[in-house]
Amino acid sequence: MDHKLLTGTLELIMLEVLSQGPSYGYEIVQTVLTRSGGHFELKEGSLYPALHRLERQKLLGSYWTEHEGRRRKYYKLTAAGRKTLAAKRAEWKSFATGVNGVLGLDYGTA
Amino acid sequence: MHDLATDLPPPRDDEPASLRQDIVDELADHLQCALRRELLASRGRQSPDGGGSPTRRETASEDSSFRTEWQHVLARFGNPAAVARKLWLDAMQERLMAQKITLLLASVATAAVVALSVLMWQAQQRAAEAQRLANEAQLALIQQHEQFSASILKTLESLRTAPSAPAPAPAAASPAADGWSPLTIKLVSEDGEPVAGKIRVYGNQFGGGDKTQINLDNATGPEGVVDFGLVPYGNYTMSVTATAANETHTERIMVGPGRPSELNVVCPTSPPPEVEMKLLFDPPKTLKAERLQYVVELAVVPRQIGGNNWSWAEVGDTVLSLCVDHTGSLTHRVRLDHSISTREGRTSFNLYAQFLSAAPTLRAYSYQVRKISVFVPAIGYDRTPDFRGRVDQWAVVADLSYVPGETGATLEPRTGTENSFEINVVEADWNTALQLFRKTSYARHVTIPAGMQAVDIAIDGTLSPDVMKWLLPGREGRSASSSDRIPVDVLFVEPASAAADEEPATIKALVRSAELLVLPDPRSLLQSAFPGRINHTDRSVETPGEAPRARITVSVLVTDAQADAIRLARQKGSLSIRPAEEESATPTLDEQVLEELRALPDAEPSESRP
Repeated sequence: MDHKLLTGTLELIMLEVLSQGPSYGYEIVQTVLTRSGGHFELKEGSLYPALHRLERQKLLGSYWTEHEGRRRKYYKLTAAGRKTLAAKRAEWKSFATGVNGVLGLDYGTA
Repeated sequence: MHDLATDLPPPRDDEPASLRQDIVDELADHLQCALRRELLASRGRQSPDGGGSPTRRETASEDSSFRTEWQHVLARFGNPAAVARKLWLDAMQERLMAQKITLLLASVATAAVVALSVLMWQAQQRAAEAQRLANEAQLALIQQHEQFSASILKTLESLRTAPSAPAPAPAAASPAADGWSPLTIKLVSEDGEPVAGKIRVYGNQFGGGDKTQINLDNATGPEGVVDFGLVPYGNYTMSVTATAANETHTERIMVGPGRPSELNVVCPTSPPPEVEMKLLFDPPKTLKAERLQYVVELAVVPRQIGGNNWSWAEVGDTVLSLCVDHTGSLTHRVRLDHSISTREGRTSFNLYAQFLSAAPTLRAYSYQVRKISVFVPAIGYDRTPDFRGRVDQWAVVADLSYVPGETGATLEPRTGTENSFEINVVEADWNTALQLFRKTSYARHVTIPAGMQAVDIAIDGTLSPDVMKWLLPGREGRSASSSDRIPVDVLFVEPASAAADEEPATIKALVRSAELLVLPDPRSLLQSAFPGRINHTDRSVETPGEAPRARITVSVLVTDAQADAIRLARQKGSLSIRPAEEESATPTLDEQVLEELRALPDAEPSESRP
């Protein structure tokens, strides 16, 4: 899969994953990989700059926990993040409908 | 595992305390999770049963597998050190940018300060250079001044020690203090005899300025000597008047070291003899009949006595102004003067001659003709104390260009001879004088016949309220102690031959105003008493109390006998002028009136009488 397509939707995907509940970096990667059926293969390290950017934008919050002697950082969605996620979902839906219409694909029955 | 903290940029003072550790811990947690996942997947592939303890060979195989799985983790994660640096840089981006901006501003400010400092330094260098040049110039001036002072001292020293120097004043008689020297001045004749006179020494002492001005004035005794005592060093002016000769001499003297303390001044003992002079003019035929008068200004050339210039004390450095009649005779000494008057919003400049003395006599000096004016007799009245009853006339003067005749520019009268000098005037000036005569013809018909005089007479009367309102707008009913005068300067002259348009408009207007006064016509009143003509009239309105009072002052020509009667009447404080009751009645100032006046006691002087 072309990485440029994934890069444009990476923030939407992470916000969507965290809308299910707080999570940490490795778990977010595994969740995306599982949900996408193994289609989204991205460098795991590239996830962190995106997470930190969303945190600076106040769309995500964070906190630290202790796990097997290691510190682990959990991310969670903020109220502003939820509003942004809703807007991005509507935007993506409109975009995907348009693209599918042009390509002659029926999103619901394919 | 490699320590990620060593791959981060060097620590900064402004970075958050936990930033580095947070980045390292977060990435380490991820890598541990990923390595565990890879290891679990690898064991599942190598020992599906998973039982028994590992042999030595198996342990070596595990180390090799660990390195392989770690490679898998890195392949899926990417370069952890690069990710850690990116996270650190993203977190520090704002601070780094702010620092760059601050650094840039500091650099700009530093550059500005450096540039300003350079400019100030350059300005200071230029100022220092200018100051150095000024100091050099001042030093040169000081050196020049010192050289000058040294030369002066050297000169003074040589004068003091010179054998031919005059002997100083006797020290015992009048010891000189520092900066002071005795001064004695002696007036002598050419024969060495003492001469009486007055001596004035004035001026400034050396270095004293105006605050130490010297002004010594003294008269000599019979021995012709004035001893001024000690006088401060200085340059002075000495002015000597020889009393008998009535002549003055002025020269500069210096009082100081090496200068004589006693001065002898050779003086005249008698004035030059008196001479008679005639100045003859040759006007064109048209003007010759007018019997012109002239004002000639003569400068007196001083005469030399004993090497000194002596000039006529009465004239001094000024000129001698003389009135010359058409026969060339000198009739008066005059003083040309002027006045500026404003009437009805118009300012006029009047040049006139004051007649100082009649039939002047001249001394046998040499005279230089400085200026000649043609003198046009006009109407006026002279109130000066020197009034002689002959020339109570204003003058309209036109300057004439003088052409030196055969006698040259200098007139040198001699005693015992007929000193007649012809004065040639440029023809164009005669034409100017002729035009002036035509313009003033209305005024030249008043002449004072021989045996008559001009006299002031005042007439008082009361004004009606209507007239007061007209004369003094806004002052009706007001009681004032002050006096409001309205000078009119009316010339009650009816030109006999002049054209009507040459008559001043003011005359008509003011004559009309006279009709409003509640007074008898002053002209008929006075002319019935005096056979002369009214020369000049002043009219004033005074409000000393509730009743305004008018006063008309007229100048009339009267006979010498009438003038005597008027003066006698003023002395007695009473004069009654009554108009003639009958046409054939004679004037009231007859002998009977005079007798009554002489019988009255003298009156006290009064300001209200003219």
